[in-house]
Amino acid sequence: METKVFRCPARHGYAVEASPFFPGRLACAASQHYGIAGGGSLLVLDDTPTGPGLARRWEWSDGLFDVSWSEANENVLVAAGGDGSLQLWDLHRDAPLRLAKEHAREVYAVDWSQTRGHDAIVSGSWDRTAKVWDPTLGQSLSTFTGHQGVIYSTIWSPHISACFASSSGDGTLRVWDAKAGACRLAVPAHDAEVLTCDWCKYDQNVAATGSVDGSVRVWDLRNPRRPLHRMTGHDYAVRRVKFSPFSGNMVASCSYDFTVRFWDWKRESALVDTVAHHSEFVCGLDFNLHVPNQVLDCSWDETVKIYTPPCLSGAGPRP
Amino acid sequence: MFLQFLLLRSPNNPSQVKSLSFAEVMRLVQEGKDVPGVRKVDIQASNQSATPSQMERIRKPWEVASNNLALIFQNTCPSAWKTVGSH
Repeated sequence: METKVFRCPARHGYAVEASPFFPGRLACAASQHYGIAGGGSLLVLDDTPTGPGLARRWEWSDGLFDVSWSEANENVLVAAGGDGSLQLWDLHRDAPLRLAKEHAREVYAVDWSQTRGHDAIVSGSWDRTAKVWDPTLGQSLSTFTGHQGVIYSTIWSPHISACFASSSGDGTLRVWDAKAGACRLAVPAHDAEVLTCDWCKYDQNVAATGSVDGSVRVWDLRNPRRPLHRMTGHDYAVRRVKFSPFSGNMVASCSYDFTVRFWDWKRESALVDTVAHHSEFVCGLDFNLHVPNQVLDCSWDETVKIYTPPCLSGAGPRP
Repeated sequence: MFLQFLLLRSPNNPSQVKSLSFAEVMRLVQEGKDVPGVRKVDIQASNQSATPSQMERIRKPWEVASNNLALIFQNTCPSAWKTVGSH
């Protein structure tokens, strides 16, 4: 398996996201000292034939835990900080465009809406609230309470306008209607903290969760009493799940067990591949939106990796 | 002047500090001690508007794949979603 590696010394990667505009570009939110103390760095990398190079780097006064690219402006991205702030960054500016300091605790998740006609940002915090913001990161538009534990993940539905999912330390997956300002659904997804969630790109009713219990569960939101699939294999907490942009069957997960795994959730024996190329927690994971089957990840081992896992190396995307 | 380049060239460049393990950092923090290589940076927002976009939004792979406009773009959460229990 050919892997391209970018090393960021003294920075522990928390999140990666592929650019919606440029096939070779990605952003990485990283923290000093594992995010426990010190600052953070936001990196923009451009993949080249000789490997990924640094296009941009900004420092922040606290750890950075998540990043999301604007869907409307190729120059803009937003990052989530351990100091409770969100920062809006512009590739052509040294200073952040805007700072939003409303959350009372660490912001662990941020996502920029992908649906047409709805340009907005959602954040999730350890203060147990989610907030929705306009794309200029002015004062928040709404605050969503209900979770009984810290929020680890907030992700917009790719199909349903103004709808986002959240996962929490309270063990639940919640789905929110940002226009109505209401929680539409609360699913007791795991008996342990739920660190991550994501939406299927090919079925608007399907979502996945990943938990401290080491499992990835796939849900049909029309019938959330039991998951469609309980996928076990990871030895420790699942830190992030991502559905493939090219296949409705494929979902990837990364874990504190240092691996990235790929699952065909429609198969009873779902585990398709295990990639064990990190020496520390793998926290960031994304699929390239432009290059089928290319995966990005980042880890506390101070690396960002770009690769195509063996299961996706066949000709063309899987059905 | 690029602030990030100043930090990279500074004598307190964190990348030159011996890497501490997770356990070592946790212990320092819990004991209230200073963690080496930590610099205080005070960054202000410019409050400028963004560099104007020059690119069109690109369709996602699932938008290209699907011919079903109802699947691509829905305005509200489906009424078929029902909550479980009393959470």
